[in-house]
Amino acid sequence: MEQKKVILIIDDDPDIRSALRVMLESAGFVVGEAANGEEGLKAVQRIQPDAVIIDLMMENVDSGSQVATKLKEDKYPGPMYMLSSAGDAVRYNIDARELGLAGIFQKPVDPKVLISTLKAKLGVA
Amino acid sequence: MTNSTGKYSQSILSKLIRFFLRDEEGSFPVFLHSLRLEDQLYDFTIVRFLVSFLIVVGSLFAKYVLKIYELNHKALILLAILLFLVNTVNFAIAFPARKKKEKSKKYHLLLVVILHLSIATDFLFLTIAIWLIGGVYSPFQTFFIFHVIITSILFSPLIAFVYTAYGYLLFLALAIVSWQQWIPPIYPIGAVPSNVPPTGTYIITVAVVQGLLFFLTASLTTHLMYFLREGQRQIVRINKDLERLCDQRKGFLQIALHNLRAPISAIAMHLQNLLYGYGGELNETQQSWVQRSLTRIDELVSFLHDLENLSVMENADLLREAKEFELNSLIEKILEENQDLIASKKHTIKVDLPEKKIYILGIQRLIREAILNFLTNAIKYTPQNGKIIVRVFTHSSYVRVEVEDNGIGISQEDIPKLFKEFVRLKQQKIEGVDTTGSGLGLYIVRQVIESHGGRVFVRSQLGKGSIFGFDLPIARRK
Repeated sequence: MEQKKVILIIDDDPDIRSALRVMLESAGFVVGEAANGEEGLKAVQRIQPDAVIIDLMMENVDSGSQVATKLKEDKYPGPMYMLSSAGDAVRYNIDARELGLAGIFQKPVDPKVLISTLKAKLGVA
Repeated sequence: MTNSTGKYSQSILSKLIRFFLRDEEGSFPVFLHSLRLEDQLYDFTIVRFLVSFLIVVGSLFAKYVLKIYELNHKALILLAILLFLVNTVNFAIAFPARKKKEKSKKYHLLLVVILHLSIATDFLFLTIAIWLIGGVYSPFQTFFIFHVIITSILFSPLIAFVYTAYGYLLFLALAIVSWQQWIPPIYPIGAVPSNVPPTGTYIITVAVVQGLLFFLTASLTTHLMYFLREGQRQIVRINKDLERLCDQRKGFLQIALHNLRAPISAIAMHLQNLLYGYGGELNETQQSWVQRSLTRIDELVSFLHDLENLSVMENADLLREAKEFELNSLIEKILEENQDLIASKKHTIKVDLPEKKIYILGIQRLIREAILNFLTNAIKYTPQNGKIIVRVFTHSSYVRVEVEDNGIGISQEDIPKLFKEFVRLKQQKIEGVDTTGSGLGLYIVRQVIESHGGRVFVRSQLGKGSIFGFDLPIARRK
């Protein structure tokens, strides 16, 4: 039996985390959660997720991109996705390529898009 | 002792300075367009150089062409040279620092002093010129009125009247010395009708008439200027209030957007989970209700997105933030990031980019948003399996970006309404096309492109498709 892929959600909004968890678990992923950037970085070390979803705006303005930069520096091997609210990407000029992101999901995230993107990227049938 | 005398003289001096340099409210600077003080002084200096030149040309013309033999053209030319020299000194002192952005109070004071000295010497030079050309008979007397008008425009009413009195005294002195023959003026026949010294009655008449003319002109002009200044003060005050209100509105918009986005996203995502049956199967009625709620939330999200972009654009500082960026790679990035959206409607996309790299000077995130708006509109307003072409080409010093689709198109009567604020076109419901929107998107695109020195355009045919595009100036690369 194929081992389930682990996704880590780093977001300070518990409702967003819970909604994402429901979506991902329904598609057969195992979900880990972190409520801020610092917790998120520790969780990456601990659970070594197959993919990470990071909210752009957390306790600090654009702290999500700081987390992504740190993970890129630490040579995190899996794909990283950014969660951004309408307009944040344009306000803070997020460059997905520069941050080493595999993509940006706009909130509210469409479950179909989220699941098909992750499955394709992680090679899950 | 020395100290207290010093203090006393300083206070008299500062009182004098305050008197001459204050405005009606008693504060610096004295001028109507105080921010343009340097420019005004500069203009006057240029005019004075021109006047020196005209005096020389005029006196030579009068002497050798009009044959006015009594004219002392040498004295007039000497006067013109003096005027030229005084003006050159003014210019040399005041204008080297003209281009400095930061101006000290001291520099400002220097300009004001130079302006006062120039006005005072102008009256004096005019009196001498008139003395050389017929004294109280001179047709050039009218120039006194011209100077009275200038001082009344530049200074507060009190100072304008001081200068008017000063000019009038100079004129009176000229009249008296002509009458008493103390320093008889030169009467060049031709320029003046007679060389007979003026009588007492004539002097009194001229003094009264000129006096009335001097003070009436000063009074009328200062009165007019008072209303103009008052109007200007009100405009400045109202502008400040408007700026404050505008800042408040921008701040409020940002806070409101921030506080609306998070809960709306959470609501939408939970509803989606409900609709997908992650919380258990829904019956048809429940599904329809959740779907309708989601549709309305989508409208709200799209409206917030546009408002957010509007707020970002309003706060962007083009001068500070503009950087050079490459357009082709930006478009490739946008397409790459929106593959899912394109695929969701099974559209085919053709990209026609020039081989040569194209650089634009501007705020990349705003231009990105403009292109993205055209692209998402093309995706949205084209039924499934549509064809979209993104085309970039250069023409003269501009680059044109076009997004063409074979979607629902826009009627000719609706085309002029596009790119305006809060415009929603009446559209029929078409299978596979979501026609909801805030009506702000294209307005924002226009604002972005025009703020970058470009223009937007659209060509469309109802039922056949549209081409939305813009032209932007290409950055000149060193």
